[in-house]
Amino acid sequence: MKKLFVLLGCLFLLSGCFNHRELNDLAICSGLGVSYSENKYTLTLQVVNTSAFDAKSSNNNASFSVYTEEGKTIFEAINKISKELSKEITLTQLKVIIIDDSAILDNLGSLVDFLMNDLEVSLNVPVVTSLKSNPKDVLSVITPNNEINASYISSLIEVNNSKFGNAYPIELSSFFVDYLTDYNNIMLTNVELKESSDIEDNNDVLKNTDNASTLYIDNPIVFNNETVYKLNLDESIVLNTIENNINDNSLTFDCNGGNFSIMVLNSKFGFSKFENNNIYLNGNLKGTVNEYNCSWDLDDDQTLVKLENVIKNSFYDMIDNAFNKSKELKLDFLEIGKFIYNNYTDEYKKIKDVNISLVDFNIVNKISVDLTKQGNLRGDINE
Amino acid sequence: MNSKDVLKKLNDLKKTMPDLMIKELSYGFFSTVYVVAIETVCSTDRINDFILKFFGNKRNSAKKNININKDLQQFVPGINKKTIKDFDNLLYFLFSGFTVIIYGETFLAFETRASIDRGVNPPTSEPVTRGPKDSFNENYNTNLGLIRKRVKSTNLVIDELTVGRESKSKVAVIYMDNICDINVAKRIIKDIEDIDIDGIFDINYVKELIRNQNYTFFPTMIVSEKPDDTCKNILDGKIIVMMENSPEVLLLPTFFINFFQNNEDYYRKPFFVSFVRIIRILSFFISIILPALFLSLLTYDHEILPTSLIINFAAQRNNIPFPTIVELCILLFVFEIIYEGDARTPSSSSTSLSILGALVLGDAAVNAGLISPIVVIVVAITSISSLLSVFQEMQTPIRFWRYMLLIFVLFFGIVGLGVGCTLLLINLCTIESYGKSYLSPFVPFDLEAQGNAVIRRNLRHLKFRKSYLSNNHVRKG
Repeated sequence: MKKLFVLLGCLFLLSGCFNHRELNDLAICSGLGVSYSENKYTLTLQVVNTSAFDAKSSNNNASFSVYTEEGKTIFEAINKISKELSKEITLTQLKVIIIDDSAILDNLGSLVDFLMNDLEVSLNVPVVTSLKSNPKDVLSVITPNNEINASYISSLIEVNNSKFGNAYPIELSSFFVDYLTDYNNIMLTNVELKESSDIEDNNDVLKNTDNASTLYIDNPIVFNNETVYKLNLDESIVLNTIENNINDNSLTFDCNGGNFSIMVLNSKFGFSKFENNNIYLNGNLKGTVNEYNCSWDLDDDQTLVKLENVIKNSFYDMIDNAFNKSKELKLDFLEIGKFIYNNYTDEYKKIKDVNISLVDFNIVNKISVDLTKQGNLRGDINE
Repeated sequence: MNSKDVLKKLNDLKKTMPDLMIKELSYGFFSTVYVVAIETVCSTDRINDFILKFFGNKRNSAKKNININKDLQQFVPGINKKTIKDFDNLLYFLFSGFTVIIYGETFLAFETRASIDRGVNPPTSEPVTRGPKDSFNENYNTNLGLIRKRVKSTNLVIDELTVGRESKSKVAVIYMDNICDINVAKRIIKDIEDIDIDGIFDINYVKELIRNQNYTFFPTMIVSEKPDDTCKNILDGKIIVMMENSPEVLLLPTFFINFFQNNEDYYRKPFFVSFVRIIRILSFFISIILPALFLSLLTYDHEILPTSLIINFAAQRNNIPFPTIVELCILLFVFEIIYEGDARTPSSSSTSLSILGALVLGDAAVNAGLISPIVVIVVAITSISSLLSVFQEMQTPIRFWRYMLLIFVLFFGIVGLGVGCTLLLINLCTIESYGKSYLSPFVPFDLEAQGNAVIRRNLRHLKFRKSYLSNNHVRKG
């Protein structure tokens, strides 16, 4: 019994408490921004000002502070920031990681190493980029309601992805996979700044009277070793459609001089086969017409068929265009390589050996669309 | 037994027992009768009206053919008459409120017990909102009666034992011989017989003295003061231990799930009862785990919490001078003081004590910046959850494991919590109550018994007794 107590005592006293940290001794980082230039990393940390959230406190502090430092390594930059903070930096609550295109193109390896080795960083953190702005500027924007900027960006990505199909959310784990596999290009959501002058031009100034600039989600960016390409909206929709990521999205199509919008209820798309350099893409899209400005009579049963054909043809065009663009840039943003690698591994090896590129491939689409109408659109539905 | 020796011993005793009454009366020609009683436990009215009146009657005292046994039987209406065999027996009856009549070498005892017990009152430790509102009291016969009137069966066996070298307290082991596991009954009787102590004064003495080889703080016996609950358990195959001068009985064997069940459960709709039982079980685990989990999340494993929540916690902890563990310990300690103060205070003052303790102290501590509001909320939820336990006996293990888990988490964070919970589970699995697994019917799993464990099915569907208690006469419906 005495031995047991000694053993327990040793266990508690020698190994206990090693990672004990009180909450008020921590600098909670909500955002991390990395850029790379002239062989130096510029690291930006967004640290939450907890006193701004204290219900008892009457001060109107900003909800976060932004610290930026340069360093030859990421650790050096972090250490420099630590000197400015009275608390220990924790990356457990990161809400967004912004990686500048310079860091992706020039020296991504060290950054991936740093993020992989830091066990604190959650693998679910969204990774984004900013093509026009630098991470510091993006992380410094004061958001409406004094919300933490990084949380705001995270919500912005979620909303844009679920409603408009122009975001392409990538979590840290997928980012690692994209980096570590040779069949994937890195694709990231693009967060941009809308400067005050742009806001005034767009008559959006009433949205945010206090701030000099506001944030918005631009179309995704795709990278390979040399190229950076920003997808257009159609390409972004095709990408999200293939990823089955457009449920609840609103899509607008032209028709007979007018246009109509549908709400996607359910979409199931996917590559089905790879044969003789042909990639077969099958898909079914179920949606409902929720806005209608066409001259065709919606009461006519054939009208829905016509609309379905319009959608089908639009998708064929969009997919073909996206695929052609992909071939042109040699950027596999439709993730065809991933499909072949996962389902036809031997073929993939052969393709790699003979160095056949996307240019030699064709895409064969087979898409079906099921539309329904709801409500009294244009007052011409009587049942 | 010689009457002269007995009277001499009684007279000696009188020197130290002022309430011992020895009255010498003449009876018949040249004969003397002695009426012996202890005034404090006897009704003097009964002695006067039936015994002394008999001997005071001249016709009786001048009687020639005396048969005191027959004469007294005719005159004294009390049916409880005993013949005494030895001096110890005589003393036992005297202390039990009997009046002893010594005539020549005849020793007779008539029950003249004074009613020094309280009546049958509503239960206090197990408040009742629905169902019978009677409870056991200190009178052994009343308690037996409360059971008898509910279970009118010849199969109800009452084995009476005497425990205590000096107190000579009557202890009864009550069971249905056609239902219960007789081996368990025999073990319990043997355990009670083996008790060697000078005196026991409450059933809780028996509870502690019965052999218990479990290394645990979990209660392995339920103490109940409700006759309806007791009778329900008797018919389920449990064994009851009752003793004189105790308003509670022991229900054996006891299982973990019993502490979350209540006889009142059978007076309500099954769906609601199932819901309430789930709430009770959850609150039991909340009351043990919550402070440790909170400590672990705040000091070790921040990444588990959502960002908005952790920022909220961090904001509340701004300018708090103590580490989280100290905050928790202070508040838990204050709660212990309030709880004990409340339990020992008359109900009229306890409300003010609760208000003073909970509202004033809690609010003042938060406003003074000593304690963060979230810790007050955590301790309040923990404390209220622990009070949901139907039986007070559960308070001990709840507190013990709450502090154990806190210590584990203090050193090892969420890993410590996992280890502590595993130890708790191991401890629960090792407990046996008279050879039966404490975690029955979950471990070992008994599908049939699940209908009345956490979930209570409709009584019409509960056609079988709990097979893990006894395999005799399993069908009841």
